[in-house]
Amino acid sequence: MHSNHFVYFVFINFTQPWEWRPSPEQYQKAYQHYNNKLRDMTFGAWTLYHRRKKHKRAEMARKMNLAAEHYDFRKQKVHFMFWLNWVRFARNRLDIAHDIIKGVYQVSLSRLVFEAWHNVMLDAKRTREYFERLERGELDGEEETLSPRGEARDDISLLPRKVAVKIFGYLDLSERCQCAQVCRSWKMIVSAPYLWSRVNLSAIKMKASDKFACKLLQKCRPYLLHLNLRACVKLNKPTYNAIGQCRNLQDLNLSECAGVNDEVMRVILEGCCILLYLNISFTNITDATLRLLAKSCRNLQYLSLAYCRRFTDRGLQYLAMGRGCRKLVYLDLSGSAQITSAGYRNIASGCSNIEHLVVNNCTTLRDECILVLTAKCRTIRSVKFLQTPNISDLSLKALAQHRKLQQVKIAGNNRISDNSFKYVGKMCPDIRHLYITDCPRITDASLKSLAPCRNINVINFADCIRITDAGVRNLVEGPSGPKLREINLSNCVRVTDVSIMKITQKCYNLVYGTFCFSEHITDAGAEMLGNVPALTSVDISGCNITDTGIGALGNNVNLRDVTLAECFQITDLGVQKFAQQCRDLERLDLSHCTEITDVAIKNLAFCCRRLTDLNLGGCSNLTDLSVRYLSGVCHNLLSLDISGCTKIRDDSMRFLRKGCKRMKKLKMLYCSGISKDTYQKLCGKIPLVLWSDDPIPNSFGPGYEYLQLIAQSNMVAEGEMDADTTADNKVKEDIELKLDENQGKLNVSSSIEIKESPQIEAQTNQESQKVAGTDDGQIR
Amino acid sequence: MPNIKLQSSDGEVFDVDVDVAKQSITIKTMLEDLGMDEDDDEAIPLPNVNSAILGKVLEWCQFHKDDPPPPEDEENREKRTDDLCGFDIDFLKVDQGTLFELILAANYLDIKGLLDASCKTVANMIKGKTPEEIRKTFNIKNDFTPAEEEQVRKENSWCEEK
Repeated sequence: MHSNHFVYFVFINFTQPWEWRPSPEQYQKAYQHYNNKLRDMTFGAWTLYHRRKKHKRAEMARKMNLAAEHYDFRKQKVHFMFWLNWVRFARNRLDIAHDIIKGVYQVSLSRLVFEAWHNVMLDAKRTREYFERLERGELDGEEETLSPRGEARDDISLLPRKVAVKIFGYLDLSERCQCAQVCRSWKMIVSAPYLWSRVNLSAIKMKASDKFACKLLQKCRPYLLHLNLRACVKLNKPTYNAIGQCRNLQDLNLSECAGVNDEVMRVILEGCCILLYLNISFTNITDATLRLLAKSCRNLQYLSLAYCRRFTDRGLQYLAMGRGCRKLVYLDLSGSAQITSAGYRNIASGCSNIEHLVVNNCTTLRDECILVLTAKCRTIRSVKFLQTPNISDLSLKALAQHRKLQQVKIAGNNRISDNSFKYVGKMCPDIRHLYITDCPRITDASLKSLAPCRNINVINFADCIRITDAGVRNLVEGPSGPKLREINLSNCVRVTDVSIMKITQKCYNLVYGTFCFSEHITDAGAEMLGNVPALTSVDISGCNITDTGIGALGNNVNLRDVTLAECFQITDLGVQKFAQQCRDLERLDLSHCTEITDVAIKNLAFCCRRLTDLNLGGCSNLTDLSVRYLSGVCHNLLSLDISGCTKIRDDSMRFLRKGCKRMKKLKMLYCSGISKDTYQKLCGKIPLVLWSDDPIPNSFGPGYEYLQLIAQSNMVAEGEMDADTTADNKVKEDIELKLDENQGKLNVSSSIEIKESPQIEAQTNQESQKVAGTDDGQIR
Repeated sequence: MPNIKLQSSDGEVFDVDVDVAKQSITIKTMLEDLGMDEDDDEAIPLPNVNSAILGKVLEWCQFHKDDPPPPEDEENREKRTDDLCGFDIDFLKVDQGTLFELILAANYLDIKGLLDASCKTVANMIKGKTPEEIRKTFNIKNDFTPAEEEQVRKENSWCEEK
């Protein structure tokens, strides 16, 4: 209706004549035109829009590119800067290094130039001297080339200095002086301070004179740390004054120096204030010395007053007075019968740090002394009471209560019983070394009480005759069994093969085994010992061993040291079988094996060429042939004993002299076949020769008493020997046993050194009149 | 027993038991510090020792690997001496050059026993000789002038008086 109305209105308007009324086509056309125009417009707008958008996108991409380029550029620039800095730094460093090298180069160049100039100068000087001498006509035509300079070209000088010094360390003083005269570089090496820090004149104790000692001390005064003058009887006041000048001395041994008294000690102690180790045993010192000691030597750790009979309880009080010797760790009061319990109380109150106590050969030492000592000294770790018969279980209980004991040595005591070891076994888990010999009251119960201890390494129950297999079994089956390294059950007559069996089963680390004089140890025991690979040293003297046993013992090829003395049943066959297996044997004792003949020695010499010690004493069947075999093959022989071999005659000694040039000790007592002439000839070649042509005395084996006597004399000697037992295990000990032929006395010396500073070395030695007496009786 | 390999300066490789090699403190610390595996295939280089000397050193170590420590008990002690054992005497019967090379090797490898034995051997060669004999033994030239020699002789003469 509306459209009609509109149409009408239009019609009305087109009724005018001037008014043109479009036709429907025109409408159509107009409409179309309008539409087209509209479409064009829209399309234009759309195109424009898109074109702009495209343009915008392109613009953005361009900008992004630009930004990326910029970023890359910046990155390169930064890297370049870093690199540049580094290069500058490196160049700088190179410059510095260059400068340094240049400096070094210049220095070395100038040194070279200087040295060359120096050489030229020296040469010129020498040439001038040479010509001067030539002019004076001093040269007696001997060819002398002018060597440019003392250049070290020999092997020793070219070694590292430390090693070269070590080599010269094995030489004695006079040998070193010879070496100093060899060439310039040797002279330099010999003057190394280390070689002069240790002086031992006890080796030439009979000869050392005051003049010599003074010169020596003057020479080595600044370096001297260890001085040993044991038994240098000729020394007197001037030497002692010189010792006082050696202010760096740490270790001094004046044992057995007859001239030492309070006056001498005053001079020495005032000079040597840093002494750590002092041994003045067998001297005439009195309380005054002890007083001085406390005043000047506050660091003293080791003190031996053994067999000094002139100091008293009061002296020991001085020792601990004031700041005194409170650091004392080791004290030896052997043979000091004058000291009572008051003296020990004085020690305890002052020196409570004592760890090692030695009181040998002292009949007056009683339990109360030990009781007052242990009341304050709680750290005692090792004790040694050899031939000290009056201490009893009470003492050991007191020592054990502090739980520190590691080492106990008791010999010749009739009062110590199983009770002692009940305490020790219970209280002292650290116990590792037991030396309980000749204590007849010890039974299996002791071994049983010790069985729970875990750290026992060494046991020695020699002459404790009540010990049986049961005790040994208890001990070795305990936790210590595998740790045992040394076992000595000499003369424990009730010990049988059963013990050996248990030991070989449990103690697979056993190295040293001694089972002498038990007739119940037979071939079976020897065979079992042949199966312990660790065992290197075995002693089955006087046991019931035959050829079978010794042959089976040889199964252990590691054996180095075998003692078969007084095994009478052994024949050549056994020795042959044994020697063929143990080719590395070094020591063999066949003394008083009366059955063996030259054949055995032939086999022995042939197989065991490395023998160093051989004892054939009492093998009376041996003839010259044996000695000839030995000297032909065993060139390393150091010690030989042919005592009582009456069939050996002078002739063979010629071979011995030629073949065994290293021989140090030759014993030929009761050798009626050897003349005094030969003996004297041998003395020139061999340092120690013992000889006599007396008939064989009854006391010379075979026989248990004889060996027991030797064992006893050894033990007494040990008893009198100053042992070391210094702190910890860094102790190295050397012992040498020398039988002084002239006096027939037994000398035992021991030396110790601790490797760390404070360095301590000691040597002590005594001569036991008692032993000397018995020995004299034996030998003469 | 585990083995390790040691290489000498001239390239020869020795296959040895660890326990034998560990007598050398140098090798022992090397093994411990570097934490070297014992069955490691790599050989330890020993640039200061040639194959001939290393062979000898290892022979010595092999013989002495089971050496027990010395006895503690006095009863056994008298049996000890400081002298060389028979094996060492035979082992060190070599020409001087080899002996000194052995010393250097023992020093480098830090084998105390071998160093002691070889140094003692050299000391024994010096013992009891006059300076002239020593020079002859070690082929040393006397570089003292006669005046100096006289001086040195005088300086050292005190030793002989005792």
